[in-house]
Amino acid sequence: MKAEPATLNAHNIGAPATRRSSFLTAAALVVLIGAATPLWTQDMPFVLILASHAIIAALVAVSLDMLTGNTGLLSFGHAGWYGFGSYVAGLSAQLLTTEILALVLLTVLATALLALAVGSILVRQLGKAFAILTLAFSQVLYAMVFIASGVTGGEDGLQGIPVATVLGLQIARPEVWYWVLYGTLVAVLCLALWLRRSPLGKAWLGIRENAERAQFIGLDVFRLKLLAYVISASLAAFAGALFVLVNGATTPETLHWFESGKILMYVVLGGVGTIVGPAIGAAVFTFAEHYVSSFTDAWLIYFGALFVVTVIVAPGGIFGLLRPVWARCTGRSERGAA
Amino acid sequence: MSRALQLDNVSAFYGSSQILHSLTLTVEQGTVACLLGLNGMGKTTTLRTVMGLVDRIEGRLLLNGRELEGTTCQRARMGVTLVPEDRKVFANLTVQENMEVAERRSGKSTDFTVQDATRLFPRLQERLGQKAGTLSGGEQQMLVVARAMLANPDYMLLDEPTEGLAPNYVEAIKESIVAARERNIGVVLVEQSLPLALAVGDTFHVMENGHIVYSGSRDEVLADTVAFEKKLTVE
Repeated sequence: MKAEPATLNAHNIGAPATRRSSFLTAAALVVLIGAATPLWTQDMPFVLILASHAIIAALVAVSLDMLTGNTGLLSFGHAGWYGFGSYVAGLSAQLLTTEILALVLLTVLATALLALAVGSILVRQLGKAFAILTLAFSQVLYAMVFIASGVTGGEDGLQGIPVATVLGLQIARPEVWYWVLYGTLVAVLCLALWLRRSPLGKAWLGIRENAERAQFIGLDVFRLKLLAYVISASLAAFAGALFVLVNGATTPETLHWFESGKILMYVVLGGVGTIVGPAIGAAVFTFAEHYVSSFTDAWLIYFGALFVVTVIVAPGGIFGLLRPVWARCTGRSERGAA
Repeated sequence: MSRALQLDNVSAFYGSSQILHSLTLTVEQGTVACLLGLNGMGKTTTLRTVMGLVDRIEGRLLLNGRELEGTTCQRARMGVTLVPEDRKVFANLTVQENMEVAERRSGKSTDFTVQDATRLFPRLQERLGQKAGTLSGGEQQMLVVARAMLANPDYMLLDEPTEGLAPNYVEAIKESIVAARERNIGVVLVEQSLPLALAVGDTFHVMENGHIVYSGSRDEVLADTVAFEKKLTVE
């Protein structure tokens, strides 16, 4: 009991610097291989488009993980924010500007304000009540698309969105879009991982683990949950904005509960609370959805079965299965990995 | 300004049931006040009242001369933390993460840091990378006490912190209470173990049916421990 404390670092448990630098090299390599995708898909343009959609799915999956993984709040209506973002950006592109930075900024700002108002009510609820209310809210947004069909295009959605521009230059080529999206995903992942390790991220994990105990040490559970909700909603809307600009159109389906179910499945498949896992889950799901649905109309049954199997056999998802490898690469003790 | 946690004529209610009856208690900063008594006499409710965890309160609660009010979190930020009876560490976080979540620095050089916590509880140093849920009961108790101290409070409320612990862990908790006092933290200790209370306490208060029926200083209690022990047993 009287041992002199050693260096204070949880990551020093078998984590030589060389192992860490090997990991960073491997990570950089993965990032570079991903960035090179347009080079080896020149003869397969559809694969590149699918990869772009997988990245957007990854962004929205990370956004849900920012909420569910960080604070334990389970949203059944996350597509509401994704779709909302696509409509805000789409309408703004038609009416105001085609500058991509202005569009995403406007979308994120509008979403943050609405999420702040909605979240102030929603995050006071716990467990199932929160989940059901998120579903109800997303369905309200879905209904609004039809009520305000004069503006939103109703069932047809918004069509013919102008091509986005950067300082007046059009982003039209698929490979350029891919690089924009890929760079965005890498930046968002880095930001999310940095947030997780920051004092704010630690506080989120504290309230996820035990909100009452977190209050005893002075953590403002309501504000922390609200902040996570606003960030998560804004990031989902950001993904929605990119979607409508890449796709040139959006439809009410982006807001539908079925889309929310898919986003939830990305996260569960990849591994709740792991940040990188949901991005992997989204990519795997997007490609699998395309290829499996081209073989059979009953693809939903297979995905339903996959969901059940994942929850029972691998509750940590794909990332949970890879965790021993990850732990070995990063030199982190598996016991210590949160 | 008085540097004390004061309960002035405080009554507390769960629904329509009154649990505390006009309780008056003062705990000076840098002292250890022991709340003793049989089970169900209102000791835990007293701590919960301070943290705003009862349905209704009458009377005044003062923290260093200021009204202690608001949500539990606001009270914690004003400078009082509670270590409840059931330990409940953040089970899926590592020991280090548990401590980092709690650490709140005021910027003073006297702030209690994670490094101080591992010095006080060397066992936790050995477990820094381990998930807190896998610690033994005694280690978890050390962790929740460390967590409370890392919030750098003026006052710490400990609810039976040594219950069910092995002697070596009881000793570690005792040392932490002494360390808290040395850091000028006021401690309210609810404890069943009289030897521990006598080892660390400065003032002693015996509760019965929501009332404080005896208050005495350490010297007064030590002058006649037999009589004091009698107050803690069923007549």
